[in-house]
Amino acid sequence: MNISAREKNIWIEFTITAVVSLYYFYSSYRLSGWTQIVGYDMGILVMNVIVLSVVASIILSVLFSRENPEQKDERDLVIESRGNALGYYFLTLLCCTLIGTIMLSEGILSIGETATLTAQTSSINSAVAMHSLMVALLVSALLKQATQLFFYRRG
Amino acid sequence: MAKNKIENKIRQLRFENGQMTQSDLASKVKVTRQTILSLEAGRYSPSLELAFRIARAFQVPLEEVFQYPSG
Repeated sequence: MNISAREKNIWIEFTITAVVSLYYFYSSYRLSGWTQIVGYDMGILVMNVIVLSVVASIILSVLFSRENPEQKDERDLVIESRGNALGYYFLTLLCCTLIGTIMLSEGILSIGETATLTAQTSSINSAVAMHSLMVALLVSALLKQATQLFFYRRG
Repeated sequence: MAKNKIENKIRQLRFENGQMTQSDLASKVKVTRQTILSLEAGRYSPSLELAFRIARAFQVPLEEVFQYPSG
């Protein structure tokens, strides 16, 4: 497969993001079922995620001899901006959906009623909100990289 | 990047200029070889600046390299 150094680097980033995402969601589900935060264990998990990212990055760099790509030209910048745009739209969409869901679940939109945002009354607690934001961040990063790869593969 | 309406004769001009390779042209106009490949395949429209640089590399007017057919 004819593949440029820049494209190879994006493949490495994509693989790392995918592996870290899978690890995070699998571990956090086993830990708390995505509905409650267990403070100490979650702290350990976040540390593991950081360590895994660094170790995966080193291993993949060594395995695929991460090259220094040549300087970006205008086509690289166009492809990068398309990936950024799509990733940003997706991130915005998921964040707005989360905000909307929280507002609806709290009855904030109800006219003439007093609503308070409390963890006790909310159907979306802070753990679910945090996982939803993690989904938004990781999926938008994957989408950005996948978009870039798509345009590089199309030629 | 969908097929665009801007046509070009880069491939033809490369061969008329001593079998210039894509890499040679790429280094002359300071882009990657993949960009020249995309341009020749009609999948990428260059910026005006790059278009002028390519025309200058072949020492021909811009309209001899790039055409924008009506219709």
